[in-house]
Amino acid sequence: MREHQAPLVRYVARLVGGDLGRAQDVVQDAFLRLCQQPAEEVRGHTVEWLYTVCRNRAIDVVRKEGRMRAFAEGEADQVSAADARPGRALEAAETQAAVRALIEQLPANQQEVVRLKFQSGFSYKEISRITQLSVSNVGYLIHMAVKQLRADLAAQQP
Amino acid sequence: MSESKMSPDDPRLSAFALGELSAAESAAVAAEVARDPALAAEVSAIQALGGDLKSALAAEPLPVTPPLELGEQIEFPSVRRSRKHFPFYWVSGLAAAGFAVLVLVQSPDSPLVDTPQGATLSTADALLRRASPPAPKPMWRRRRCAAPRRAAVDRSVDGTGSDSRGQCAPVRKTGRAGATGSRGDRS
Repeated sequence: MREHQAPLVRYVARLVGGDLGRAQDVVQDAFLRLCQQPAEEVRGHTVEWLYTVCRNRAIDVVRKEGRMRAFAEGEADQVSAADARPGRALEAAETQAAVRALIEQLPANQQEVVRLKFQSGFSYKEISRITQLSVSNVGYLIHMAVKQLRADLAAQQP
Repeated sequence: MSESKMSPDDPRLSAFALGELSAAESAAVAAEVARDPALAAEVSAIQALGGDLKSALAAEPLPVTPPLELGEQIEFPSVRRSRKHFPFYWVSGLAAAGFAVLVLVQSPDSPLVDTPQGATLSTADALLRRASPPAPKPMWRRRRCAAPRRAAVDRSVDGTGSDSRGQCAPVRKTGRAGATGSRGDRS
């Protein structure tokens, strides 16, 4: 379980505005709650449970501190301006960093589901339970993110 | 001529490319993709981008995190579950039984250490002594002597005869006095 600590901190940090210390506190609290859970209640979906608890706690923290970022449904169409894209000619060694930079330009809700899908390896259904979005909405957000990223990458080709 | 009903903008196409559809839905989309080369190209492009996203995000550095402070007594549910079957009651039961035997053996009033010389027996000796049947009574009778006899005093050296306090050696009813003490022990 402890190998999920750093990925969870990274995930939560994005939800709380990049505050690693606060993200660490949230993850620590989630692990403590996990230790107090009956094994039967988390068996088979422990990682999903951790992400769900961390996300809910992060949203509580952000709301409490007035730094809430919009994660509600219906914001999937929000696309940031394309003027901050990385450079046109991509070196082979920089491709991955460029892709991550493109992901950073996506709306927050798209970034979140893209990371849960392609970084944490969750399925649409698991992402739906973590984010409390419908499965179809998760699919729509990922579809829109993929479409945007493809367009951005194509625009960067020399 | 069959016309494709699926648009390249259909989110089901991404779900199909990423393996997120059920078997029935996947079969339906696969039939559409098989009929339309544009959809097939779209699926290939989505899958290729999915691979790029995975590798790019996998290479993202993780934040340095301090160790979790969960306390010494707190364990993860999986660990707690695996230890639940350890037979602590067996260990505690065996320990209690061993302690009871030790106390019984070490007690001065214990029948297990009731030796004629008052010496302390080992636990094994005491248990063997307790488990062995009582010695058979001799077939001879004791008689009182007025004074210790020389032969009886001599035999007291090997413990088979009388002692120096005037006890007579056992005498068989039909035999000579003090002559068959050691043989009588074997009967």
